[in-house]
Amino acid sequence: MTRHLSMSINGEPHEFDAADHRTLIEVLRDDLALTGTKDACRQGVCGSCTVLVDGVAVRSCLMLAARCQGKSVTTVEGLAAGDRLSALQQAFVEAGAVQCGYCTSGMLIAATALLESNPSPTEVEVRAALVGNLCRCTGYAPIVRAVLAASRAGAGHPVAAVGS
Amino acid sequence: MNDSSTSELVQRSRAVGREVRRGDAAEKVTGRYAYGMDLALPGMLHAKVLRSPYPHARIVSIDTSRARALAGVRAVVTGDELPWLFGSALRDEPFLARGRVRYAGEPVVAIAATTEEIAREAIDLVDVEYEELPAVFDPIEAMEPGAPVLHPDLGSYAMEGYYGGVDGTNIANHAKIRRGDVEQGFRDSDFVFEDVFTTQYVQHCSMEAHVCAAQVAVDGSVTVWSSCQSPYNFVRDLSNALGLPYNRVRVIATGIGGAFGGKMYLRTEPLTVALAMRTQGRPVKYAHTRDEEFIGAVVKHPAHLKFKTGVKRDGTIVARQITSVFNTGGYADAGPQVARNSAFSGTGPYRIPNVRIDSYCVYTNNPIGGAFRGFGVPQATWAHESQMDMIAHRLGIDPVEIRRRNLMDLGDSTSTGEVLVTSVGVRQTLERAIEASSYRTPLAPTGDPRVVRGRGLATMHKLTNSPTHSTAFVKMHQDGTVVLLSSSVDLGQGIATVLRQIVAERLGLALEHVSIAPPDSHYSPYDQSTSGSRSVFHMGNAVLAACADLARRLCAHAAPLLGVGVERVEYRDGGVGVVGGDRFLTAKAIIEKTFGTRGCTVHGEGRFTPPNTVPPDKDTGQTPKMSAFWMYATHVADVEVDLDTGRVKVLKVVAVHDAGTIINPEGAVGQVEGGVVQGLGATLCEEMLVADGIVTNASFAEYKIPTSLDVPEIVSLFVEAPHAEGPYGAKGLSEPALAPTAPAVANAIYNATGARVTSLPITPEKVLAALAATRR
Ligand code: FES
Ligand code: FES
Repeated sequence: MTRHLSMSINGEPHEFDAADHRTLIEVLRDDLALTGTKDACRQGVCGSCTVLVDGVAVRSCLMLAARCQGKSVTTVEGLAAGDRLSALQQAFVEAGAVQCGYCTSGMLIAATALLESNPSPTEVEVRAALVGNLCRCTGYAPIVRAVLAASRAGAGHPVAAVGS
Repeated sequence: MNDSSTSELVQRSRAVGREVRRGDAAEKVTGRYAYGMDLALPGMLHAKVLRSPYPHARIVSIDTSRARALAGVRAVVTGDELPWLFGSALRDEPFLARGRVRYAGEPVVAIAATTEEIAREAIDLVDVEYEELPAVFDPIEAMEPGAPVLHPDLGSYAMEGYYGGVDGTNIANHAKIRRGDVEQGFRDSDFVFEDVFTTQYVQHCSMEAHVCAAQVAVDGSVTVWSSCQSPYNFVRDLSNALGLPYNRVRVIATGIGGAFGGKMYLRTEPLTVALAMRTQGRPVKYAHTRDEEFIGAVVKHPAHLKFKTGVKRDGTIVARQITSVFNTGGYADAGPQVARNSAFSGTGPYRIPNVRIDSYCVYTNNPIGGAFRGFGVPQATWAHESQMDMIAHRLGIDPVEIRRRNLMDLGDSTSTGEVLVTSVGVRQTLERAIEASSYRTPLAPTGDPRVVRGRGLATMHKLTNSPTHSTAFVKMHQDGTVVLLSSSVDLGQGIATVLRQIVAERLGLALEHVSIAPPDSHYSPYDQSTSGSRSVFHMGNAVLAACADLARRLCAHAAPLLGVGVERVEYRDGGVGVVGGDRFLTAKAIIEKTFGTRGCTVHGEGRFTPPNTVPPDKDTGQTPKMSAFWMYATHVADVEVDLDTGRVKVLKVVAVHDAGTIINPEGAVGQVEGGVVQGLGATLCEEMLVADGIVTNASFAEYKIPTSLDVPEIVSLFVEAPHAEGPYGAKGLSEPALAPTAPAVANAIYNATGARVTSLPITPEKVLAALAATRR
C-alpha cells in the first residue's frame, strides 16, 4: 500500500507518497534526486548508503521510507552550510581521504555521527566507528587521519575558518 | 634528463611535485559528483538480465512471451537475434548467449522496462530450457586431450595480431619467452629447485558496480555512457563487433567509483546496446547488482605457476623455466594479455641469462578472468618472490643478500632482451626498505610463546604494455585560461589532477586556470586506455606536447605584435616575450590583439608514443625494447602468527617504490596505501569461491575485503629514479603497489615459524597445515 509521508530532509520539510516496500535510499535517489547517497550492495553491508535519521547513522538501503515518517533525515547533501564545507568535509579534502569518492558520503555520515557522540575520539575509536563502511581505494588511513583532524578542528559542524 | 635538471625543475615548479588537492574532492564530499550510477536521461528505461544457472549447457528453448506481455516492458532480446561477437584480443563472446552457455552467470535474456521493478518482474516470467553439457573447471584438465572443448570455433575468431589460441583446444593463448639455453643453464647450476605456487579468484570490488546506458539514433549511431576505464577501447570493440564506422559509436566516460582493471573492456554495454536498438530511441540503463558484479563481471585470474630455477652455490641464478596456467573462464576477455604479461615478469627484477617461459590462458566453465590491477604480475611476483626466499633458505644465504646478488642494474637486460638504459631504481627500493623497516633489528617477542613474530620482504618489477599511444588537446580561451581534453579517465587515482598540474607547470599558469573536460570519444582525442600504470607517462607526455604546440602557435601570433621574427620570441610565464629582452605580452593580450576582444580560442595538440618500443616476437618474446618504462618496488612486512589458530596478523608494511619523479606526492601515497591494503586483502582474506563453476560467496557479507580495523601501519616511501623520457622524469605507480605484499607476508610467516605457504590466500587452515608439515 502507498502512504503519504512527511519528514524533514536536510532541514527542509518534504511530503510525498511512497509504497510501503520502498526503502529510504530508493526514495532519496530515485524520487528526490538526492543522489549523493550511494549504494554499493543494497544488503546492509558496505555502509555507502549511510544517512542520519534523528541523528543516528542508519543504512538507508535497509530502512523503509515509511519508518522515517515524522523524522529528520540528513544526507551528505545536508552536511555543508550552503557552499561552506563542514570541518569534516574540509578535512577529507585536505587529508587526501577521497579517491574515487564512492564510499565518501557514507564515511562522512558515519564520522559525523561519531563526532557528535564523541568529539575527541582516539584512532582506534575512529577505526571502530568506520568498520561498517567499506572503501576499496584508500586503505582507510587518510580517512582516519581526516576524522582525527576534524575532531581537532571542532567536530562536524560548519566552521568559518577552515584549515586553521 | 639527468637527476640534477629534474630536481631543479621540480624546485622551480609551481605545480609539479607539490602537494596539490585533487580537483574533484569538493564535489565528492558534498555528494554532487555524478557517477555512472547517478545517470538519468530523459525517457530512460531500465534493464535486467537473466543469467544462466549452469556452467555449461545447451539452450534448448527460450520462451519470452509472458515477459513481453507484461505492462511496462519495452524490449526483450535473446542471443539468437544478435549475430555479433565481441572481445579485445580475441572476438569470442556473443552479446547474449547463443545456443549454449559457457559459465554460470552468462547473460541469456535482457529486458528493458519503464522501471527496474518491472524489468525484474519480467525476467522472472522468462522460461529457458537447458540441457547440461559436460563441463571442465580445472584449467590443467581443460588442456588435456579429451576435455570438453568450449570454443570449437576458436580458429575462426578474429584475433589481434600478437595473440594466438590453439585451435581445437581450450588454449586461448600461449605466450612464450625463449632466452639463452635453459637446459644448459640447469646443467651449469649447482642446484635446481622446482616449486609450484597458486593464486585464487579475487574480485575487484569497486564500490560502484558496472553501469552503463545506451541510446541508438535513427541512423543507427550508438551513444554509450559507461563507468569505464577506456572510451576508446569501447569505441573500437563495439564498432568492430557491430560493423559500424567508428564515428558512429560515441562513448562517454561517466564519473566512476573505482575500477582496478575491472572496467577496461566491454561487459554490460553490448547487451544494453542490443536493447537500445529496440526502444525507438529511448535510452536504456543497466547497472549490475553486487552479486552480478561477482558472478558476471570479471575476476582476477587464478594461476598455477610452476617455477624451476637453477642456481649456483652462492645464490646466483643461472636458469629459470616457468609453466603457468591462467584460468580465464568461459570467454577470453583480457586473459590472453594477462597471461602474456605475467610471463614478462617471470624472472622478477633479476638477471637470469637462460629463460624459458610458457604461459597459457585456458578456457574453463568458470567466471571470466579479466584485467586486474597488475595484469598478471602479482601472480608472477607471488611465485618468484616466494621461491627466492625458499632458495635463500635452502642455500643458507640471507634473503637480502641473494636478492642483492641477482638484482638488475642499468645496462642489464631483461628476459625479453631489453637492455635497461634509464631509471632502474630497484636496488634503491630494496636498500631503502631495509633501512626504513630497521630490517636488521629483530622484532620484540610478544611474550606469549604461542604467538610469534617475523619479518619478510619481496621485490618486483613491472612493465607497461608498449607501444601504446596517447593524444591530447589543449584549448586556450581568450583570457588565457586553458581547458585540457584528454581521454584518460580519473578512476579515483587522481590522473585528472596530475594532468592539470602538468599543464599548469608547462604553461606557467595557476592550477585553477587549468580545467579538464570529461572523456568523450566525440571530443577528447585518442588514448589507448587508463590502465597499466601508463597514464602519467604517456598522457603526461602527450599533454606536454600539446602545450608545446599551443605555445608555438601563440609565439607565431605574438611575433608580429612584438615586431620581431618568430625565431626571436619564446613562450614564458603565461605569455610570449622577446628572447633575452623584457618585451612581453600575456596570452590574453596576444589573443585579443590578434582576433579582437569578441574573442577566439587557440589550440595545441600533442601525441606521445614511447620511442623505439617494439612488440615482442611471438615465438621468443624477444624485443630490443619491450616497455616504455619499468616500475620497481620492495615491500617489507612484519607479521604475528598464532601457532594455535594459524591466524596471521600483519603489524606493519614498509612499501618503497620507484615510480620515477613523483608529480603529486599526496596522490602517490594514496595509491600505495590503497594498493597495499588491496594486496593484504588478496593475501589473507579474499577469495571468490567457485564450486563446480558456481560462485558461492557473491556478496560483501561472504566475500570479505579489508575494513578499517584490518589494516596495519603502512609506511610508503619513494626513491624517485627519474626516467629520461618521462614527463618531469615520472614513470607509473598504481599497479606495483599491491604486487610484493603477498610474498612479503608469506616470507615473514616463514621467518616467524619456518612454515611455508605457497597458495593464496594464506588462510589459518593453510598456515596450520604448513606448520604441521614442518614438524613431520
Ligand atoms: S548499500 Fe546499504 S549498506 Fe551497502
Ligand atoms: S575512495 Fe573509492 S571506495 Fe573509498
